[in-house]
Amino acid sequence: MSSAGDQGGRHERWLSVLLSILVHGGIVAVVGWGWWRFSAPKRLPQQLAIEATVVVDRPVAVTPAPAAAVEPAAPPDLVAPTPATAPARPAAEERVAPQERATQQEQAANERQKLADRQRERRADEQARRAHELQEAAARNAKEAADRLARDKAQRAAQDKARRETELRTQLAAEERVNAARGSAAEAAWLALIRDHVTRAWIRPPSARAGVNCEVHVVQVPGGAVTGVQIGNCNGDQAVRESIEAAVYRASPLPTPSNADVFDRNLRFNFHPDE
Amino acid sequence: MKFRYSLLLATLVGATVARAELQIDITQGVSDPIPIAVVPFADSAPLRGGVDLAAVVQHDLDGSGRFKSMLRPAMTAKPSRALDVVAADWHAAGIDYVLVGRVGAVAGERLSLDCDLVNALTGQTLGTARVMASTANLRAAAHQVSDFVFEKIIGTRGAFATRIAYVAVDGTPPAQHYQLIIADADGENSQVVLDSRQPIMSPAWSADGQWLAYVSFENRAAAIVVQQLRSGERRTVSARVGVNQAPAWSPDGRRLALTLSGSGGNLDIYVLDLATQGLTRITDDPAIDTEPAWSADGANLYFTSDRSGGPQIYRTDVAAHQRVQRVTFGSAYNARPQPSPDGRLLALVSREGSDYRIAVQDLANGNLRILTRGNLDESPSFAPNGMSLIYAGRSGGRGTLATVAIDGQVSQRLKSDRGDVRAPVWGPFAGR
Repeated sequence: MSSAGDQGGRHERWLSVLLSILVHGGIVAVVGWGWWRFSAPKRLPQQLAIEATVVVDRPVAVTPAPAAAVEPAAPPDLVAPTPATAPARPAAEERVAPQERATQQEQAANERQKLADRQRERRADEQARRAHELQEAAARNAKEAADRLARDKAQRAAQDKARRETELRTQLAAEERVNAARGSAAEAAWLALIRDHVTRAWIRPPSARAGVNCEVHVVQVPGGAVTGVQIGNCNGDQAVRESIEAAVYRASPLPTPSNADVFDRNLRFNFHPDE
Repeated sequence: MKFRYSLLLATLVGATVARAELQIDITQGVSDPIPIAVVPFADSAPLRGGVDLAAVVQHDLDGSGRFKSMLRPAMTAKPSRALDVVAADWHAAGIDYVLVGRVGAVAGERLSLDCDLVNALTGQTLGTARVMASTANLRAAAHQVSDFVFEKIIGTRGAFATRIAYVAVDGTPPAQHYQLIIADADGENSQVVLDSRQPIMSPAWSADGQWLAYVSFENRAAAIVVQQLRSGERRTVSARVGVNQAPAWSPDGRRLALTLSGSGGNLDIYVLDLATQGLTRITDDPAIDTEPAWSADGANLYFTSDRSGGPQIYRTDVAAHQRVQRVTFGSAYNARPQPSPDGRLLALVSREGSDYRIAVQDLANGNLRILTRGNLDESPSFAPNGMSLIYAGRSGGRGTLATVAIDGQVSQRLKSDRGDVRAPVWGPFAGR
């Protein structure tokens, strides 16, 4: 009985460890994904602000890339032309014809600008793609984790239910045994023993006459030791109550039944003397 | 699945509901004496008059038949306060109740006796009592403690602190010497209230315990005399021609029932109004009617009559005394009726074979129970609580006094150093 209980316990312990790992894994996955999923968009407005200052004619909507981690490195290089060309201009005007030089410089600047734009576009596309991929992966992971969680939960519920049913069945079996003992010859014999025992211990005071009816609730422990005596409805006087309480304590320990299933911790005595 | 589960639950609930508390009926009990320990009282007063008060209490309780006290050598502890009583130890020794107490000096000749009564089964203190006493009468304090214990546990007022009256006879005829004596209910502390060379018979207490009525032959003929105990004042209330005997005080104290013969010599019952001296004839029958006794409510008189042949007990209504009802039937000899204070029992002398014994008859169903085992027991008188009877028996050719519990469980001989004693009567409760 006890070894089976141990095995059952060990099995349950393994089960719970496994469940615990699964649950914790699931939680970590969800939290990780959540962090990844929700922390990035939060930074998005900041990035957009920076880009808006740098890229004058590029519509903001083109770079919805959430993956802006690379962005901060790019601007210094690309932005360089404006501050760099400005000081060069006065010096060039002295050697080349001022107008030609200006056009050439403008064209070069435009070329450079277009190149930079294209490069940036490519990079943004790349980033968007990667972000999308990551997003999908995360979604996949999250879905898997959720599925796993749901599966675990269902499994656990099933196990719980099975265990509860087993417990109930055991309890029911015990109840049935006790119920079978109810009204049995063994029970009747036990109650008769107790009755005789308490009768011998009840020293009736003069006021305990016919018509007196006192109910007493008695709590005993296995072995028959009386642990509590509570006088219920009682029309007897103080001496009657006193005598009844004394009788039950005097009778302790009460006789024990031959069949342990018959035992009941709670007994009710009805003291009603017939004179 | 869900359905099966709930079905299982329902079955379980059903099973639980079906499990009612096991019930046991107790319709009988025993009249065993209750085990009690009367622990010797702690004595902080140097003067006790040599009285072991706890021993007096113990003797009282044992004599009632309701208690069986623990012997002192068996006591492993001698606590004097409830606080110091280890209930479990006493319980383990088979004791249900523990009485502890201490004597203290109050002032001068006065002492206090404080007692705690502990329930050894539960450890609870059932009650405490403080009794004041003069050093001259410490026994009275002990009897009051006995009353306290008795009432707490038995539920009926104790009758230990009451008195008895009886007649003692010394010497051999013709030089006999008669004494009317009152004493504590345990026979101790006796006092002579009348000393006479002529017979004294049939003492009877007044309801208030202040007076005794009795038959005296001091004037060579029977006369009924009433005497106040405190002052010693005496009055002859009936000294009619012929027999004057068997006075019985009415519960209201105003009348005496008595037996008179008149000049014709036929004994009948009369009621004498003490204030007016008016006499009412209760019975008028050619047979001998005597030994009248009042019912507790004063409405009826029980008496002995041989109108049916042998002596039997009859009852008549004091107001409508034309109707007389026979009460006893079992034995060929039933005499000396004494109704109990609660009116349920009638004590009497009944002959069993050749022996005269004290018996009680249940007035509701007529059942007769013989209580004593002597062969010439007589003169039963109820204790005012109705729990015991005092009676006179004969032992070694002399009259002795004894008490018996009304269930016949215990009989106790009273100590008497006054020779041949007879006609005991138990006095009423002292007022409280």
